[in-house]
Formats: sequence, C-alpha cells, structure tokens
Amino acid sequence: MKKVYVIGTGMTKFGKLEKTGRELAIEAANDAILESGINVRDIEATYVSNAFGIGEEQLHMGPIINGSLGIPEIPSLSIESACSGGSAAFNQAYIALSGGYYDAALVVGYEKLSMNRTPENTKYFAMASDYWYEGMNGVTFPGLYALMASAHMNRYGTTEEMLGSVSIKNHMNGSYNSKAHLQKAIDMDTYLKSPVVASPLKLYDACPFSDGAAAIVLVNEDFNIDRPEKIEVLASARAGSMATLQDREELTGIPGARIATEKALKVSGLELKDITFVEVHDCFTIAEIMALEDIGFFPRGEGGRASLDGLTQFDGKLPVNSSGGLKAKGHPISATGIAQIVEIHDQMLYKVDSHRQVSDPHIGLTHNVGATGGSVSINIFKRSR
Amino acid sequence: MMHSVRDYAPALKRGELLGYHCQSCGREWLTSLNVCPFCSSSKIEDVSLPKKGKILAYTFQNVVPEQLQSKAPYVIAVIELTDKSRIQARIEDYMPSMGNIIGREVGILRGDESGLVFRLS
Ligand SMILES: CC(C)(COP(=O)(O)OP(=O)(O)OC[C@H]1O[C@@H](n2cnc3c(N)ncnc32)[C@H](O)[C@@H]1OP(=O)(O)O)[C@@H](O)C(=O)NCCC(=O)NCCS
Ligand SMILES: [Zn+2]
Repeated sequence: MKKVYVIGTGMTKFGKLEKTGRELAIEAANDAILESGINVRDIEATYVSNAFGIGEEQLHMGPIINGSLGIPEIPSLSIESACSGGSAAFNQAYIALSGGYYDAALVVGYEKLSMNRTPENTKYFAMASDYWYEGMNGVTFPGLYALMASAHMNRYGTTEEMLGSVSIKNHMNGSYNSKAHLQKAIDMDTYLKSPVVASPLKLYDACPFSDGAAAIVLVNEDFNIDRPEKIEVLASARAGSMATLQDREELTGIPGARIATEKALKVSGLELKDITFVEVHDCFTIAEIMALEDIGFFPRGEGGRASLDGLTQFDGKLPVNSSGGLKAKGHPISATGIAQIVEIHDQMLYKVDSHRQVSDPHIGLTHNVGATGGSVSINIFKRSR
Repeated sequence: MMHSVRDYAPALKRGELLGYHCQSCGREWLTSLNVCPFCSSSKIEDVSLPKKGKILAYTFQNVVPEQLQSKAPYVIAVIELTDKSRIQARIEDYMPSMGNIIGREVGILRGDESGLVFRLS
C-alpha cells in the first residue's frame, strides 16, 4: 500500500449560520486546496458527504463543488453514513489513494440544519435508527444514547457528575476554538441545572444541531510534495454493529468501535499507548465515555471516573477532544468526521490556541460513530518529518 | 414463508408481537432478520413473542419527534421479554415521582401507527 498524506485542510465556522450548504461546502473545499498549495487540476476525484441535503432540496453536491472549483470534468462520489459520513468519505479516498488508483483527492463533508426547528430535526435524525423497531415508537437520538447511559449508570455506577465532567471539559476546550458552535465555558452547577432532554441526558450532555463544512486534500507518496512536516495516515478502518440497539449483547458500549480499533492498530502496527491524543465522537457525554472504553484507553466502566479525575483534559494524560468535540465545537453531521481530522492536523502543526494545544501531538486518533454505532470509523495519523 | 417487516405493524394493531424463533438454538427475537442473530442459522420461523417482560434501560424523553408532540413527555424503554428477546417500547403511565424503574415488570398495552406501547404492571 502507498503512503497517504493530509496536505491541506479547510473548515468553516460551525453553528447556526446564514450561509447555504452549498456555500459552506465550497468555502471549506477552497480553503483546503489553498492550504495544500497544489494545483486544483491535480485533484483526480472528489468524495462528498452529506446526510440531510433534502432539507435544502439539493442532492448530488459533488458536481456543483467541482464546477465551482473549475474542475467539472472530474468524478465525484456522494456518501452518507449518518453521523460518520465524513469519515466514510475520507476512507473511500484513502482506499483509492493507498491502492494507487488516484494520487490526489478532495474530501468534503457539509450539513445545513438550522432552517429546521428542533422537533423537525429530531424527527429527521430518528430516521437513522431502525424505523420499525426503534424510531416508530418515538425514540429520538438523544433517547437512544440515553438508553445506553441508563444501562451504563446502572451497571457501572457512572454518575451525573462524571457525565458533567465530559461536558465541562469540552466546553472549556471549545471556548478557545474560534470556529466552535458553542464558545463558552460552563461549570458543574450550570450542567446539573440544565433541562433534561432525555433522562439522564440534559441539554449540556447533548451536541447542538450545527451548520458547517470541513474539507481535506489527500495525496499519496507518488504525488510530489516537498515540505518539512507531513501528516501521514497510518490507518483508516471502518466496522459495523447491529443497527438495532436492543439486538446487541450489551447496551453499554459499541461493538463496531472495538472492531474498527483492532483493525486500525493492526494495520498501523501501533499499540494504544503510542497514541498521544484523540478526537472521539461525543454526540452525547456518555458517548465519549463509551468511546474511551471501547477503544480500550480505560477499562469498562472506568471511563467516567477517568474523565472526572481530569485525565482527558487537553493537558492531561490522554487529551480527548481538544477541539471542544461535538459537544461544543458542534455537530454538522457529515462534516464531523472530517473536522476531527482537521483538529488532528492543526494540533500536529501547533496551529491551535495555546489554551488547548496538547503538549505532544505526535500520533493522533479519530473515532467517529454513525447513528448508535451501526457504522464506526477509526483513523490514525502520525506527524512525520 | 416467514413474515416480512411489512407484516409487523398490522400484527401490532391486533396486539400481536410478530417475531422469529430459531429452530437451531431455540432463541427468539423481534427484528426482521434473515438469520438468527445468536447462532447465524437460517432455520427460522414465525412466532408470537410473549407480552410481558422487565425493563433493562429507560429514558424519559422531554424532547420528542414532531409526530409525537401530543404524547410528550414519555418513557422509551429497552424491555427483556420473558423469553429473553428484547424490544424497545414507549411506556405511557410513568411519572418522574416513580424514580428508577430498571427491573420493573411491564406488559403490552397496545400497538398502532405510533408504535409499541407497554405499561408498568
Ligand atoms: C439539546 C437540544 C434538544 C436543544 O434544542 P433546543 O432546546 O431547541 O435549542 P435551541 O436550538 O432552541 O437553542 C436554544 C439555546 O440553547 C443553546 N443550545 C442549543 N443546543 C445546545 C446544546 N446542545 N448545548 C448547549 N447549548 C445549546 C443555543 O445556542 C441557544 O442559545 P442562545 O439562545 O443563547 O442562542 C438539541 O440541540 C438536540 O436535540 N441536540 C441533539 C442533536 C442530535 O441528536 N444529534 C445527533 C447525535 S447522534
Ligand atoms: Zn439460533
């Protein structure tokens, strides 16, 4: 397999934005190409992820992006994988580049949700569950993760304060991220007093509905680039789990995350202790705790304690979600997986605010979950000279 | 012939939980699948699942999808039926004053276009 590098990134501000999905996607794509410094004509294919384009009555955005960039003749592929669409698009580009089919590709993820009210978005999002056996009964996405939280708390004694510590950390990191949706720090009292969305999960356990886009330019080793530091993709692995939550053996973790991690470690030849910082899928605080346990950074049932003890702060033993995570940075569904990679890239090049810069951004991992874990992506990156 | 996912809702309206039974390992489940999720056998047949069980996990939802606004707030629970199969259902007679209901016994109340509804027994 050929080595693959991230050589340019672009990310719009996340939040409730005026701009259309089209403008956001094109802005991020443009910025990624500019940062990469390559000639746009060298890009051979575009991989575009989006989930709710139907809300803007616009599907098949790839050719629109390519046309706008002046490369309408190159192929594009539209990819949807619920909240992990961005990572799925990245993985497709990685496969094409590592296999040598293409040498340079553009990956874009975008979402536009703010024109809908919360009940509408709640309804659309529930469509990513198993309709007959979950969604039809009226469960929501916060509800599905709340069921996992309920089981986790019951089995391991995970507490509200442990969940709160995840939220407080991510809000703190997000307050130093100028592109984050929610740039404000919160304290435990604010967390505990916030309204319940789906018990035990409250407003401050949940990510917001965000608009936004992120993009990456990827090249393989056959593409001549000359620069002192490169961000190499050491592994890009995906796996799955039973779509329907109750059909899994356990409600307290996501099997696909364990499988994808095993694959990624095997391909990269790394051990978990080699990873120096991570961006994980914290759509709800419980999801960050389960992610750290599923990947294996902490034993089952001890992720909440680790968070409460501060181990996952940006200056802790294992920095987790230095970007603010989905919780504070925001969660524009199909942009999220790519935005995680943007954070890894920016951390590795010491481009982030010093209040959230991790001390050894040497080897980074991203963990991105689609729906309740039906799809999971794990990517590993290394800064190489 | 095994039932398809389209037969699930009409059966619900008759108060029946139309599921599957594995002839190889004996387990039962509700979700429409072509093979047994426990042993991968394709020797499976239709079965009516039991109508009683106990709560494994639950959530009290204040924010609900557009089509169920009139029923909010309500509980969604993962329920283990007496044959060990698991389902998700709405529970309509819960009040927050009842506290933690994990482990509580429940029984089917009704099924309709708004899904499967159980009640605390
Ligand atoms: C939590 C949730 C119900 C809040 O919705 P809401 O109450 O309608 O919130 P609004 O959009 O009306 O925003 C009201 C205020 O709360 C803030 N806010 C919204 N969501 C927030 C969140 N998750 N955390 C903190 N603050 C939030 C807004 O910024 C806004 O603040 P402002 O008045 O200062 O501008 C909604 O964001 C939600 O359902 N999130 C989960 C999304 C999801 O399921 N994603 C998929 C994950 S797999
Ligand atoms: Zn079987």
